[in-house]
Amino acid sequence: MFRRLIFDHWVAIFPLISFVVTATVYFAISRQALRMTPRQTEHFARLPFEDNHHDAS
Amino acid sequence: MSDRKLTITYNDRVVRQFMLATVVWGAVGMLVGVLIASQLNFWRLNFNLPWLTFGRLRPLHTNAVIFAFVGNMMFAGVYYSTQRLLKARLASDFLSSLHFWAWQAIIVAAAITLPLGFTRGKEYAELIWPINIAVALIWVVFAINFFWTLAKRNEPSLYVAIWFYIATIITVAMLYIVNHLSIPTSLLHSYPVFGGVQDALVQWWYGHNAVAFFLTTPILGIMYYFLPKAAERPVYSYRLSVIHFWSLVFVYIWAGPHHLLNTALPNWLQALGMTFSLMLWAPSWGGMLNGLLTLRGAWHKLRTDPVLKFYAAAVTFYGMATFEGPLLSIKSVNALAHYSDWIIGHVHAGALGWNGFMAAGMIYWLLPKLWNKPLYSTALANLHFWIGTVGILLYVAAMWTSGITQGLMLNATTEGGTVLAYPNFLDTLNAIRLMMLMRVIGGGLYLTGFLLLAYNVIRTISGAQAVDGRVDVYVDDLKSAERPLGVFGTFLNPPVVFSALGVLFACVWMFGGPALQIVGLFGTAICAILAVAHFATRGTRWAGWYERLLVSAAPFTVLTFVAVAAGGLIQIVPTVVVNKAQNMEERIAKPYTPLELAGRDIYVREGCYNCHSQMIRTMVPDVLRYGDYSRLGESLYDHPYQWGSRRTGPDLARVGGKYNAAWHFVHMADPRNTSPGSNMPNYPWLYNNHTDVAALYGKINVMRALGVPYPPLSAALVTEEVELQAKTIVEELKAAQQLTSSDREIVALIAYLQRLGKYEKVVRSAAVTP
Repeated sequence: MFRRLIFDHWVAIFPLISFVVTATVYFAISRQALRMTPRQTEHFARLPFEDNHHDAS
Repeated sequence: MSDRKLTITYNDRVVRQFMLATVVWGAVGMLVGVLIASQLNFWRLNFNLPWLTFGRLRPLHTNAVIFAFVGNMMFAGVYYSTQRLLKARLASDFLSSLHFWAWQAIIVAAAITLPLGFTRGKEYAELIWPINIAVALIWVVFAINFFWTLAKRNEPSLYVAIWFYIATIITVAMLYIVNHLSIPTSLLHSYPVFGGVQDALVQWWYGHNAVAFFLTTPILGIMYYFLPKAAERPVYSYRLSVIHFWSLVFVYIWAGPHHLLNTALPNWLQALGMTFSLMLWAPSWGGMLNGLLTLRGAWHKLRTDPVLKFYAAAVTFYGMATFEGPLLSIKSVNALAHYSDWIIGHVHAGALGWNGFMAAGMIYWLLPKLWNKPLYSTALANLHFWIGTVGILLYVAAMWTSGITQGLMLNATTEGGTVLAYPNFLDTLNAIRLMMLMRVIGGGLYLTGFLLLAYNVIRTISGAQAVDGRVDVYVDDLKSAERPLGVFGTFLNPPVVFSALGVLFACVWMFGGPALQIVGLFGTAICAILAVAHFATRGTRWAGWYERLLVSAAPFTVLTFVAVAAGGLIQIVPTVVVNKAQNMEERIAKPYTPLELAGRDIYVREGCYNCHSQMIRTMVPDVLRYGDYSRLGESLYDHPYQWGSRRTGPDLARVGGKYNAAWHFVHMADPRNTSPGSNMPNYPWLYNNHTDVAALYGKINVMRALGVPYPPLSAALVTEEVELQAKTIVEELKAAQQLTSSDREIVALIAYLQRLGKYEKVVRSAAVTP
């Protein structure tokens, strides 16, 4: 059965499957990302700025 | 809000340690790079010394830059930003310290063993098995320290940089362990468990994703933390960063086979590698634009701020390199570029531009904060930027020109495509001499810039007092905000169940017999339809699960691992299963004789694969130049495979019998004796060193354990066979007035070289029918 994968020339389907799978992931994640509220994105984007202060150790 | 205020002091000591190690090892790695680039121009710089030859130093350069320079920089950046993003001190000071010192010990061990010729013979995976185990263990220490910190964090939300770090830790662990699976033959030597095409595929699954998950994803995490901090404004689009992460992690892992285009690798894998590589354009450029646009409103600061200059240029180089990578993965472009300097230029645009400049920006930004003292000289930092930029541009432009020139010359034909236009390989090498010199100048400039950074670092920290950051957090609030998913919540939910079933049915469809194929096809289709229907009616459950996933570190980690492992498994498992003698068509390798095996180990030890491939591609110019294209079966028993990735010298897949033994004997003493204009080093020690015959018995036993069909051989029989074959070669040499003893390494190497390209024809009836 694996032999068919190695030697046969039916590879044209792979780019198609790859594209469909990846496009699905892109769209699903894009949808999730776009559904984030401005409050959520603002909260996440501000995380690096919840600052510290440095003292001599 | 709770009254329970907690003041946390970060462990910045380990950040400082890793940062200083970055500076030291960066200078060493780049210095070795400039030396080996010089050796390509001036062969005398190999000094006729084994431990200073190009073949042994090139792995030292690549390992130093990847694991020592970028590795230390990554650990510094990850530890600094993780503590602040999680509002927690690193979980264990002991593990942090162990991580640092053990990593430096590993680097020192690599710096000693590689020039001595102790190598596994696989690019970026050369380190010998005891060091491999140490790397794996210390990576686990890093992982424990990181995830433990994650577990005791005081900030429930996971910023996108943390996602990138998680993906890095689990994926690198997986890649490193699988690609380094070996069976030792001694304390310093082993054979990889994979051979031939298996080894090639696993190697580039690792090699490509070492770029992806060691040189890219952690640095992207660092970009998402440090760039907004330096620009003093939040990331341009957090939504885009979410898309960037998931699409990059999902797609990157599949692209490895683009390193093996037009080779004997099965076509479906080549098509898969090319397609996924092209799809990488989208997430890579999404991330690049997100980084650049974070500088909106801060561009004026670039005039004076060296940190922002470095970041802006680094992100630009990331964009350039990630545009070029997919371009090079197009099969027809790859036919020109593969095995040429174009690939070297591409790699260095990423390593010098993206990694090197991100490191510089991070160091200049961290220095004043970690030592509570202004940077010694902003002017020097700016000078570093400009010298470095000019250096990269010179380097990359030279390599593009060199690669395209040599690629065109090597592929050029006349007489209707039946005759090579430049049959002498050395003509194509000597045509790129000027570009090779420009590369040295470019690399030298970049190194000079980096030394300025080192000077700036020394002057800044001298007399300064190290400081650790602190933060106040309110513990009770944060703990109550967590809603962990748990094991059932992680796996028993619509997105995971439908994805798992879909993949299962798709595998049945692809790999099953005639009846199972139909079941798989219908199962996949039904699964997809049900998933869409379920999503349309109960979409909130999908969204709710995703949002909880983002604050649940353990399930997030497990599912990210599943996502990256799937790509590797689907590519590697069929190849591992099928790559057996009974499945081979047309041609199959014979096991090497003991003397040939000894010669092969010498070939690997000297790093010949750094300049010579053993893979004649399915292209007319390759076949005209080197002989019939390589078949899968011909490298079946090669542990490690030696297909190579660069042709500074010609392909050797069918060099056996092309010249006589005396030619090789004279050639290895001084390649210019037979090939005027060659830049290959001399190998005088091969004429003095004795072949390690005693080790062969054990090596053959390991080979047999790996599935190589050696007949039962006693130690005495091995010695007898070695002596017999060596004597024949010595007699042949003697007839050509070349005198040597049969126990010298040169004899074993000649035995191996003369064997290359020899195969057995597969008898049709022996092949298994589909």
